[in-house]
Amino acid sequence: MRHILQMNNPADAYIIEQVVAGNKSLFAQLIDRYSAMAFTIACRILDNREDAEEAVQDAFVKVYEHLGNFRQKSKFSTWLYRIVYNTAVSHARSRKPFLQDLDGMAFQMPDTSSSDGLVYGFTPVEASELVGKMMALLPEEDRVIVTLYYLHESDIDEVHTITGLSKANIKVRLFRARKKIQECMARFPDTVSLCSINTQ
Amino acid sequence: MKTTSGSTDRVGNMIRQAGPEIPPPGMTERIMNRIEVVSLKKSQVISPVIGIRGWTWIGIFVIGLIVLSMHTGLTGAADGNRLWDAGNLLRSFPHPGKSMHIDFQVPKPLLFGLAGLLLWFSLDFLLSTLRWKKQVSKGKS
Repeated sequence: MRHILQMNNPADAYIIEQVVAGNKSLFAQLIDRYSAMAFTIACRILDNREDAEEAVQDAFVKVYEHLGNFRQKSKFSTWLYRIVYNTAVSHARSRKPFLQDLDGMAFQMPDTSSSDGLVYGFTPVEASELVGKMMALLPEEDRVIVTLYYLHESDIDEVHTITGLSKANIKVRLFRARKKIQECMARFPDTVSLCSINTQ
Repeated sequence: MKTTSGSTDRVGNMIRQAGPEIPPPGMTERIMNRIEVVSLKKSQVISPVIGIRGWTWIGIFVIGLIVLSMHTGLTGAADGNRLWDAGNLLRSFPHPGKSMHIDFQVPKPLLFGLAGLLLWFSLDFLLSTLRWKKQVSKGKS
């Protein structure tokens, strides 16, 4: 079952074939399909939306230029996310180091008093904000691993292909990241800033 | 969906509920514009500037110059040991009231053919460069 899920989307294969043949306008469909996850990976590494967009743009241009070399042995998304990951890491290395305002990371947990029907009492916007803050507590690579594993539902093999980290290392990092997030979540409704002090 | 314990599943559910980051509006168009510029650069910039037409144009121009200069006595190549004689060039430069002696040895049909080729490649080079500039400005807008 997992094998079937990992096969390339037939629509992707057709679009890639068409783009390589010269119909480049179809490439926009691939961008629309994968830009959200690509942007999320870049955001997790760069922690800045403008830089993330630049990295995603660079990655998609690289993908377009080398689309003819893609042999379809892996999923297109895996290949794309690996390029996005490497490009974002290069951007992170090349940009100037900046000082993060630790006070700015402190925030109050959303009010859960009137939250009937919502998962853990959060709206998607609140959950997004909360996850963003919790991710900020993790190292860059761990953020990507957690995002790929839970959000993209990649297995360890795919995370290994995208990040280039060893499988054992991914498992350890995933365990540590999960533990850290769980500790933060266990302190509800305390502030995550308090949690960050205690768990580091 | 992954099968994990309750506490880890809670982490996963929270992350899934948050969903991916929403890309900035218009990002697809900006990427497509960049791709347009990149593919234009590949197909148009290289071709007119250093492509086969550009090099042929430069080659013909250089050969034409050498042929013409040899037949106008501007080089010392006829002597067999000097490719370019600066003294000869200065001596033959026209002075007031004295015209330079030009002795054309090249047959006229060959000369006209050479001039025609020069004109053809110049126009081709100019038109393809203008076409590229127009397409690049369209891709950027």
